[in-house]
Amino acid sequence: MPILTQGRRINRVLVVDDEPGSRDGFSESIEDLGLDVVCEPGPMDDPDSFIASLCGKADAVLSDFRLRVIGHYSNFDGDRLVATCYQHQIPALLCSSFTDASTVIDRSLMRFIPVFLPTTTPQPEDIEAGFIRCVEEFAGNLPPSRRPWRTLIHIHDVDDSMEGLFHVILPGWNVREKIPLWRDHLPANIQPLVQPGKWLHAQVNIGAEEYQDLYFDEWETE
Amino acid sequence: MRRETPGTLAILDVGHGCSAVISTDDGTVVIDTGPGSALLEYLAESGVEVIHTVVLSHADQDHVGAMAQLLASRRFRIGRVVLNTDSEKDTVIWEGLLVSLQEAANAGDIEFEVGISASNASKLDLAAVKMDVVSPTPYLAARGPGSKDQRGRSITTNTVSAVILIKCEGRPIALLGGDLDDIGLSHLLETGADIRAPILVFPHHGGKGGRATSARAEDFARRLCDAVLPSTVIFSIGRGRYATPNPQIVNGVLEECPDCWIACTQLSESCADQLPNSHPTHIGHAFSRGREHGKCCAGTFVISLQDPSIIQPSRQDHSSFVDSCAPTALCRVSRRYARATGIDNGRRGGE
Repeated sequence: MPILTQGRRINRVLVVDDEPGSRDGFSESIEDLGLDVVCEPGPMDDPDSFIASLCGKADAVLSDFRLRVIGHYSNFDGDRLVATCYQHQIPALLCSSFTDASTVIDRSLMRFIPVFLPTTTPQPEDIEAGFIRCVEEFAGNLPPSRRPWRTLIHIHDVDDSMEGLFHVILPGWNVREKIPLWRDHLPANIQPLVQPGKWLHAQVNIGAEEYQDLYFDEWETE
Repeated sequence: MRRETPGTLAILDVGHGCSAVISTDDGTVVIDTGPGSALLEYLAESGVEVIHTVVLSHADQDHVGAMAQLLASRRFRIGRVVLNTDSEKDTVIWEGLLVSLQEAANAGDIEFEVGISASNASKLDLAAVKMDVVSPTPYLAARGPGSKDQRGRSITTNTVSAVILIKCEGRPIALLGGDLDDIGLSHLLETGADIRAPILVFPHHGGKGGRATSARAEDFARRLCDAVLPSTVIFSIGRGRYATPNPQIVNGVLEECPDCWIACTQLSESCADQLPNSHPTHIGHAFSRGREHGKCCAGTFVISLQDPSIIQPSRQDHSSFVDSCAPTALCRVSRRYARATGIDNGRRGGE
C-alpha cells in the first residue's frame, strides 16, 4: 500500500547500493511495507545525472552510505546522493552498518539528510517514518532537533594523528562533547581558519540530542 | 488599576539546565538561558524579539550555555546582561562568553553589568514584577568563588549562585533556586529574609551536589522547604543526565511539605526505565525540549503572574500522567515514605 502524506504518494522506491546482496536486503524491508522496489544497477557518474535519470522511475530513494567499494558502481557516496535528492524534494533515506559512518559523513550535507538508519536491514516502520519525515521537512515542518541556528563554534584542537581531523566545541550545546569534523568537508575559504582557539560561526541544529545528529552549514569567515 | 494580564513566568524544559522567562506587557526578562536551543525556540514561538534583561545566576554551562546562542542568533535584541564575577571558572567557554558580551557592549548592542547580590536587587525590577535577589549575600558575592567564608568553608560557583524571589504586585510567585548549595543556604537563612513562595524551582536540579552524605542532602531540602513553604516544587532536569532528582532530596521536600506538588520538567530515569509509547497530551503548548522524543514529565511550566495557582500543565493532568506512565516515580514512592515516617515521627501528615 503506498505511503500517502502531505498530498504526496510514495509507491515505488529505488534502492542504491554497490553490493547486490545488500540491495536484496533493503528490498525485502521495503516490500514488507507493501511498496514496489527497483534497484539501481549503476554505474552513476554524478548526483545530478542520477536525479535526471530518476524521473518516472521511483518516488523515493533508499541508499547505502558507501557506494564506491565494489567495482565502478558510483563516483560518489550515499550522503551526497541523499542530500541531492533532498534538495530536489525527493524523499531519500541513508543507511549504513559501517560503524563509523556518522563520523565521516559530510556534516554540511547532514542538513539535507533528515534520517540516517545505522543498519542495512531497516525495519519497515522506520522506513515509512523516514519518508514521512522527509516530506514533512519539504513542507517546512522541521522538528526542533533539525532547526538551524546561527551558532558560535570554538575550534578546540587539530588532531595531529589523523590528517584533516579537528574537534570543535559548541558553548551553546554541550561543552563536554568534542565534535570531530574534517577540514576537507569545509568550504575552501574556511579551511585555513581551522586553528586551535579560533572562534567561528555556522548554522547548526543545536536542538539535536546527540553529536552524531549535528550538521554544520553556512560557515562564516568573520 | 490592575491589568487583566500581568503576564507569565515560564520555567522552561531545557533538558538538564535552567531557564526562566518572565513575559509582561512591559517587556521580557530571562533568568538563565539553559543550554541548547530551547530558550530560543520558546522566545521565537512567543514572538519575542526584544529582551529587556538577561540575568545569569552563575557561570555553569547548564545555566548560561545558550547566552552565546542568544547573541549569535541575531534574532533577538537584548537590552542588558547581568551576571556575577567568577574568577574560578577558568574555562574557555566562560572566557569566550565574557569576551562576546564585552564586544557586544563595545558595539553598543547591549549593556553589560557585573554584580548581582541581595544589595542591588531592585535593579532587576520590571514594572509590577519585582525580582528580589535573596542570595548571594553581599558578603559572599564580595568574597567570590575560590575563597572561603568566615568559618573556613569553601565558596564555589554554586555558593554564589543568584537565588531570585519573583513577586508580582507585592505577592510572591516563585523562588528560583539557581544552583544554591548548603553554604549559600546557610548564609541566606542567616539574613532572616522572607523567602516564602508558592513555587520553588529547586536548586541544582535536585542533585545531591557535593554533599558527602544522603542525610545532608535531605537536610538541605528540609531547611530550604521550611523557609520557602512551597505548594509546588519544580525540578528542572534532563532525562538520562545525572539521574536527578536525588531520592533523598525528594524525601526531604516531602517530609517538610507533604502536600506539595512535585513535578519535573522531564521524566527522570529514576522514575521510569522506559519512556511512554504515546505522545504526551498532558503538557502545555509552550515549547518543551523533551516533547520531540517523548521525554517530558511535566515539560515547560507556564505560571500566571496574577494567580500562581494557575499553572500549565495542571496538577491534575500531570498526576494522571505519572499514575499511568510512572507509577513508581520518586514523587509517588517518596510520598508514601514521607507519609509513613510522618506518622511514625509525629510530623505533619500526608495528603
